[in-house]
This record gives sequence, C-alpha cells and structure tokens, in this order.
Amino acid sequence: MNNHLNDEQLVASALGESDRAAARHLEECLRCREDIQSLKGAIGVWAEDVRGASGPSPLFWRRQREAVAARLARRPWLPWKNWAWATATMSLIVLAAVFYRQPAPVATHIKPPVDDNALLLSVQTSLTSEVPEALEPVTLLTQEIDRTEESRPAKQETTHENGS
Amino acid sequence: MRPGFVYTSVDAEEIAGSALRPYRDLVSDDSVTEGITAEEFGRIVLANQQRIFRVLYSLVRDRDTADTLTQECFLRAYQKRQTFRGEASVGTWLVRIATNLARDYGRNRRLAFWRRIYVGNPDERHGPRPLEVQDPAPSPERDLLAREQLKSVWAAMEQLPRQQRTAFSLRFAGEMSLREIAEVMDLEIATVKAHLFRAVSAVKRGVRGGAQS
Repeated sequence: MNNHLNDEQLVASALGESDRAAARHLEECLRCREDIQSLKGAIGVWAEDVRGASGPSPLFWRRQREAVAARLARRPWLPWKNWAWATATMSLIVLAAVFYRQPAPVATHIKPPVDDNALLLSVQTSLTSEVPEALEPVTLLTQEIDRTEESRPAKQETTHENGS
Repeated sequence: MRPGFVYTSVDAEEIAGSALRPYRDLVSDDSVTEGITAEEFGRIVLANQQRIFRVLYSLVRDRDTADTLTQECFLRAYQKRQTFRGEASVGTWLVRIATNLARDYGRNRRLAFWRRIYVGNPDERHGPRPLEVQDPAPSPERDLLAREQLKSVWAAMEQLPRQQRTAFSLRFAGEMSLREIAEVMDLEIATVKAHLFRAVSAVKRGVRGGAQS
C-alpha cells in the first residue's frame, strides 16, 4: 500500500481525531497501525512514569495531607496582613515620590497669539509714528522738558511784576 | 456535598477516618461562613492530590519539588477559597492553581540554577526508578525500548513551549478532557487542540529520532 498516513494524520489518529478515510486506512494498513501504536506506547510509558513518581505506597499521600494540614495550622490567614503590606508599600511609594521629586520645570512665558486685526493696527501705528517704539519714552521726556522750559519765562515775568 | 467535587482513588475508610482528622482542627467560624468547611477541604485534598501531583511532576520533573508545589497548591486554594465561584469544578480550579505555580517555578531561573547545583539531576539523586509499565511479557529488550522511549519523550517535552507542554501534561498526566484543559488554560478548545497537536508531533519526532540513533 502506497498512500500511508502522513505525520499529521498519524498524530490526529493518536489523539482520537482521525477522519473517516484515515480510520479506514488504519483498518487495512499494518504499518500505519504500528506507527500509531509506537507513538501511543511512548506516551503511555511516559504517563506511567509520571504516575509511578509518587511510589506505590499510600504513605506518601497520607504524609502529604498531613503536611498540608500542618502548614495550614501554622499559617494564620489574617486578611489584615495583606492590607498592612499594601498600605506599607503604598506609603513607601508616596515617600519615595516626595523625596526624590524632580525639580519643577521652569515656566516659559509664551505670549498668547495676537489677533490679526490688532497686529495690523499695531504695524500701522508703528509706521505712522515719527519715532520708533523703543524711543517713545525719550520723546515723552523731551516733551516734558519742553513744557517746563515754556512755563519758566512766564513765571519769571510774573515775579518781576510783583517785585516792582 | 457541593457539586463539582470529584472523588477519585479515594478509600472510603480514609474519608470517614484518619485522612480528615488533621483538618478538623482547622474548623473555625470563618471557614464555615465562607462556604467550604475544613471537613470539605480535607475531602478536596484527598480527592485531588494525586492528579495535582501528577500534573506538577510532569511539568517540573522533580519529585520533591512536585510534592512541595502540591502542598503549596492546596495552601493557596485554602487561602483563596472565597474567590472560587463554582463556575468550574474544584478539580479544574486546583489544576489551574497548580499550573500557575509550575509556571512561576519555571520562571525563577536563578532558583533553578541553584537547585541544579545543590540538588543535582533528579535521576542521579533518586536513581533510575523501575519502570512500571503494564507489560504482559517483560523482557530486557522491551525494557530497554521503553527506557529509550521514555528518555525521548522527556527530552521532547523539555523542548516544548510552555503552552504546548502544559496541554500535553494536562492531557496525558492529568487525564483531562479537551474542555477541562481549555478551562484550566483559559483558551478555546480549538487552540488547545492545536497546542496538543504540535506537542504530540514534536514527541513523535523525538521518539522517531531516538529510535533511529
């Protein structure tokens, strides 16, 4: 027989998932049956090894149950213990965050976006003014001096008239 | 009896007598109000300890470690008994705890390193165990073949990815159905099938390679 089961079909058969055609082939083909038996046998040997790991003695299981009971009796299952641990951990995290806090970033003053109309108005004002914006305080000072100068002769004249 | 409690390989005399005695001291008001009494817990341990041990042994391949992890599994189960919602059987719930323990154990590589140095190879420590294969006509040739097969399967198992290995262990060591495996591993049945298929294929290649060499 030429069309033997491929690996996929053999594994499927070993897992009990073979299709009808594979099952029919297995009924007729000794070689494929032996292949599957070999695989099943190897897995069976392994499963027996696992089963035998504890030894045949029921003492093993009894000792294990007693060990579980002893460990349960030793361990007080107090729920508040978990909360205590959680609280302590959280406190540590908070403390660590407080003490190792990064320096606050330097605030940069960013001017708010200017309205287009306001900007155009500002440009127009700047163009029409006689002096640059930076020199405006000087202009104010000059005007103040001029005003002072203008008012001084008048005061002197008044004083002269009173004196005579 | 609560639904879902599986009783396997349990000696009736043990249930009634000495097996539960250690747990009677654990009966307290809280354990009764939380749904699982100490007596019930004793029955759970009795009914499931062999399967839990088998699954753990197949995953860690060390008798002492499997024993310790089995005990730890029941301690965890007792500690988390409030979280058991009864959606799966107690047995499935316990196997899930056990596989998580085995996974955590496997992850601890540093511990594995020290364990290897301190404890040594499990086979060297305990000596090769006699094979307990049910064989109507044992012979040196058959024994040798069985040993070779066993070696090949363990070697192939150790190379498998975690999910495939777990699926293989649950199926053949835990003797669980596909549906139970899917519940334990929190996977679809089709995914479990795919993992099992790949695992068995790898084992088949390993066995074939072992036979040829």
